[in-house]
Amino acid sequence: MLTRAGWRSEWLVVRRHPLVWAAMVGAIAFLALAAANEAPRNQRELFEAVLRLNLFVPAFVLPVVAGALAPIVFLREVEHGLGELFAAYPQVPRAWLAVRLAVFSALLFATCAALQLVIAGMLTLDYPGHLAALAWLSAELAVWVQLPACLIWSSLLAWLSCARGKSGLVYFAAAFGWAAYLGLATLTGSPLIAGSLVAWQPLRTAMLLADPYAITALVNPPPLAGLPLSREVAMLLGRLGWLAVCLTLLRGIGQVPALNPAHDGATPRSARWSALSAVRQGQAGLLMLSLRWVLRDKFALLAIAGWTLLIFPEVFSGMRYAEPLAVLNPDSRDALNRVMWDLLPALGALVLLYAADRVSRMAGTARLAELVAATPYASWRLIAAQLACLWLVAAALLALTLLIVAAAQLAARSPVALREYLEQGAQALPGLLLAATLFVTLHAVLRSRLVANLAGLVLFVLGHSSVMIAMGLDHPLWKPLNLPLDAPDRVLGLGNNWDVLGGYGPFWVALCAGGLLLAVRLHHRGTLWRQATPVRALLHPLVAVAALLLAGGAWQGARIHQRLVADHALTSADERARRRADYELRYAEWEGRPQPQVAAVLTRVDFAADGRSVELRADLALINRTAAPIARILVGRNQTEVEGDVAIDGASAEARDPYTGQIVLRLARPMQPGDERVLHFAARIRQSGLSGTAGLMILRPQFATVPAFQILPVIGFQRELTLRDPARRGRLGLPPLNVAAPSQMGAATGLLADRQATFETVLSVPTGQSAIAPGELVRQWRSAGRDHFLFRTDRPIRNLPLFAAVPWPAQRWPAGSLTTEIYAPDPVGQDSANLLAMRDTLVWLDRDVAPYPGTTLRLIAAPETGPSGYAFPQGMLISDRRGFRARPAGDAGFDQAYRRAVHETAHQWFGHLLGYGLPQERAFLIESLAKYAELVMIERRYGTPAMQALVDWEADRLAHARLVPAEVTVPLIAAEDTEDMYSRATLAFACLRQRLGDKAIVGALHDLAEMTRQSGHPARSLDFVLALKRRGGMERAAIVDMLLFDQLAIETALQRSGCPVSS
Amino acid sequence: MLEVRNLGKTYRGGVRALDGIDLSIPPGMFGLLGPNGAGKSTLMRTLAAIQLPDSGSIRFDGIDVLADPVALRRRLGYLPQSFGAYPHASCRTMLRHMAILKGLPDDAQTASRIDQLLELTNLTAHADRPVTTFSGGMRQRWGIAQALLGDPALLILDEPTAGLDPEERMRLYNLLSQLSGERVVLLSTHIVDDIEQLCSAVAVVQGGKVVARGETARLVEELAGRVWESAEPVPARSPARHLSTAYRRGQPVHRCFAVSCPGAGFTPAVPSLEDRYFLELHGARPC
Repeated sequence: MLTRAGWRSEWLVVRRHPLVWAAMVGAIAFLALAAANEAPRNQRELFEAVLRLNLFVPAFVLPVVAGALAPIVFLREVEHGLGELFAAYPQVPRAWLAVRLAVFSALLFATCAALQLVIAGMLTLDYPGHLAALAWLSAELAVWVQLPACLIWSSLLAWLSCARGKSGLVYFAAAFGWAAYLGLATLTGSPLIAGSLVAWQPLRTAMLLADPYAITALVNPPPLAGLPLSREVAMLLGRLGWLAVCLTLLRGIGQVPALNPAHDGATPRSARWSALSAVRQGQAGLLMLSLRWVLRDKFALLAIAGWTLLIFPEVFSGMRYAEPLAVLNPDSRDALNRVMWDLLPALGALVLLYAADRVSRMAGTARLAELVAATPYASWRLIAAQLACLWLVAAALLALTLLIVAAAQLAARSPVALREYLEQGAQALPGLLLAATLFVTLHAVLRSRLVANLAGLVLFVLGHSSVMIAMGLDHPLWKPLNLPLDAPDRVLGLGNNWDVLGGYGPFWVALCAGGLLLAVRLHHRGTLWRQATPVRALLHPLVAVAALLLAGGAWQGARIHQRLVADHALTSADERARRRADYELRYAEWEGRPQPQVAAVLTRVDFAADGRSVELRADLALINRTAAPIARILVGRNQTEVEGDVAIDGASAEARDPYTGQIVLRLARPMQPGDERVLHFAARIRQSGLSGTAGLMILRPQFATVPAFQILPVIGFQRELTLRDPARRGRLGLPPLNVAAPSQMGAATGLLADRQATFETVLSVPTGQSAIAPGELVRQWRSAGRDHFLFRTDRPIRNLPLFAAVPWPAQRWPAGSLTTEIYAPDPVGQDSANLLAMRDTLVWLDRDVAPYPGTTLRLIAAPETGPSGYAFPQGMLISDRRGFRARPAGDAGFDQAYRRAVHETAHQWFGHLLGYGLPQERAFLIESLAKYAELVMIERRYGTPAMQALVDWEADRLAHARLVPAEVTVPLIAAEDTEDMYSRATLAFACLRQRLGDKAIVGALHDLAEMTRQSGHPARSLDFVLALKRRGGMERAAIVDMLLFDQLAIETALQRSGCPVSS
Repeated sequence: MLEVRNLGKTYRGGVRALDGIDLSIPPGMFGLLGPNGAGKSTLMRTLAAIQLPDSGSIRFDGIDVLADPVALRRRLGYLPQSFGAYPHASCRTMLRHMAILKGLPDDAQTASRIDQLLELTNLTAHADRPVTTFSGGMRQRWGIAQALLGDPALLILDEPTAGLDPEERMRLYNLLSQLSGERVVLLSTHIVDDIEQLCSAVAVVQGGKVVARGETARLVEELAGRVWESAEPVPARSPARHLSTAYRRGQPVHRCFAVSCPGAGFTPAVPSLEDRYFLELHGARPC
């Protein structure tokens, strides 16, 4: 057998199996979709993308391919009843193993190679010059990552096949290995998993060596202390260790599956299994038989054990987690949220897919299908028993999950809230039941077991992955088995999920019920043959009922679609990009034309009683600050798609462009320089609740925020609303963006006044709620059963209004001569981190940099749907979970809640006083300077060790942010990547503080604010650099340049500046 | 009682399993003979209403089987060529389960009938063992027992003696003979002797067609005086049709079909159904 003919013969057999090709094509399609989503903007991003996609292969693709193909290679004789025949052949186990292992490994590696070709081919289309370098990188990854991964999976599955001889166990092992690795990656801060953070440092250190795919060592820098290994040594040791594991597994194979007597399906079973006679017969008997068939499956125990091992640690270790270095006092909602909205629906559907196969194919597996089919037992009763059994399995899975979560809570001494369990359980159950129904329907209609399982798998992938979005089908109704339910938080609660169930539930129930009725008529009764001609099967009253149900589902789907359209929730990112491109192509010529500016905004905002909509009516006072008369005004849609009425007295619409949302208004009487006109705007904005909440626009009965700065119409051509990504601009036919980087900009010519306005706002909210708007609260009254609030600013402020309605009263605290107002679910004490941070920062910046442009700063506890912190003029939103409920973890050197509140407070200066007016100045003057404020405030409040802990944390974040280390970087003042704006800036300012001192930095900030106030022009980052050099002394100017202006890697800049890299 | 008209079935790939089959089967035991791949199992499954034909009709005792398969199934006992069992269920439990599926009430009468069937099939001593632990013969007997549940008017048995030792085979046939009476027992097997002994009527199927049918005795009688045997093979230019070659006590015995003695060394032989079967397979008709 160990001959060329032997291998060739093996390959000839294997290649005839359609699943071999289906697995390869599926893997290639998956990677192609992932690669299509990558849009590298430069060489570094290109190499990062290639690396990331190459690491996707072992982490996401290989286990699935290996699991699918292993039974074909290792178990096909046993699976197809050839075991006995094959056992009679003169087989030498080692020769058998050599051939099968070689072919299986080659199949896996060929798949990896094909995927590498896809990656390289798709990503180098725009970068043909890097083909050779990418080929070399791919070859390195093939040797270090993919080849070992193929060997590991081959050895493991060969051993398992020979030891147990069951394809189900092989599938289970592959799925478990896949999920377990992704779980480990999630806990070790892998960049492959969105939102992954290091939960336990020792685990990550261990994974540097023990990662089977070497991904941890590849994407993390080696530790500075503790385990003195270079990346190469760690990877080499890890590979050798896994090679030893593989050899051990292979040595453990003593017999091929066909010769192993333990795999004989006719092995007598213990008589204890024959106690079925006690079971009641009839429909209940069939149900009980089906249940026993599922539960007596040896994988059921494994699945329960695996489920427990998966859920318990996830909940026990994760429910306290708020963010890095911060923990919660968890409640049942926190505990349940860890698993109920991602793990349970996704893995639960997989479990049900397996159980559906067991239940629906029970008679076939027991080779009783023909006997059962020949009985007069009605098809609907057979299907009903299968469905009932699977529903019970779904309910049991949910109950098991809830029990495990409760056990984890009890183990962690966290209080268990029964009501929360009941409510979340009730919301999660329908999705599982629908999945069960769909799988039973598929098995009832499709005669081929393989096809039915593949169809179920395809539906699962479509419903629980981003494949449909990648294919451009970004519609919730295109995601089967997936109800768009959100994890509840303390602010928004569980209410919206009931609305989602009320909307999507009838749709899926009608479709599933209709499908199920059709399945009753088309049921194959477990045989391989049709039981009735389609015409005869469909000429039945039941089909009319099914048609009615399907029509009802379609009607409900149309209603959902209409509501989503009304919510503007169906506009894809590509569509938005096309609109922006068209906007630029059609209206860029307006960029230089004289246009009026918004000087004042009078707004009336009515939040509806049901909390789902808001009426917005605004009068925008326009002023012509140019030297030329203006006869035509371009009024355009803002960032948020809103259908609103726009009018100017004495003006008529010359042109309307619904696609880009632009209107050209012609004034009957042109605006002369200094003239004012009023633009009237009215809109009703509604959120049905059927689309997930994201961003700042939230309309819920419990809580509402309306970012008017994204809604009110804009005047003239706005460069901020155009595309910036060069590759995307190129694809959409836009010319390169010829904008000078902040490090190369000339003096600013625009006026800050063009971006400022005064505000007067009347808000009406349901009784008992509080309203928030820019300015001071001038008056509050109640009429017509609603509470009204009048806010007014006493001077122009940045034109970035946001309105809110919240269920909590204001908690007011003084901060020097200023006032802070906090809106949060719990009372705020005077030692609260948020209050301390607001007070410290307000007093410091108000005194040392520039006066605060107002008298009150407001802080609102926000739900988890938006950013963790957001500052708008005279107010800010901070996540309730991270900002109000979290406290520092035991090993945290500083308080994240304090840091975040300082950061957002600092934006009142760095963002809303400096750092606007120039589209390209949107990083350094805003985010990086706020990081400087964090350093100063944390050190003053908690001491130097706390400040140093922040520096260390940011250094660690920076080290892990990039897959490919940067040798040359853009100057810090021009950098826009997140890790530059925050982490690199923190390190740079820590060094500047050390070498120049706070006095020089604060002095430079003061100079910048003063210069801005006097000139009325927007500030530039360069102005800050110049001011800092002046304040710091020219002898230290080189340090300023190295840290802020030069294109040096931060480590080099720190070393040359005489600062330690990290403690 | 069972009328089959123009039954046709073609599988994917063009294999014509049934090619216009016409049969009229009266009560009693009816044998179905044919080589492997002749279409016997397809015909049996189609008659059991678990596989649809492409064309034709089937009527059983007034029931249009294709239009109302459930009506047939209420009166059907079916034993497929191969079948399994649930590994966790005992012999008696499986019978109860199948009885419920057949629509029998879960009462003492059914339990009593199950006991009778266990007795009839000689399985009483093994009633509490899982069927999956049975030997091949015991499993076949269990299959017969389940087929007899509900006292079916039509029994379709596809290769029921496969894997049985001679004694069990004999016992099974005795049982079937007792059971036939007013019901139709359709028996498919390769063993021509069995059909000859058990069935009053028979059909030979080849290539999806019925190539011969009729009463067993008549089919054999038609060969009387035309079957010859010899230790020597049939001469090359002889008009005689070679039927079979077998060894008897180590000596070859050649049988052939001819209207007159085909040559020296040939002696007249008593015709059998097997001779008729081979004659039909080889494409000749008795003249």
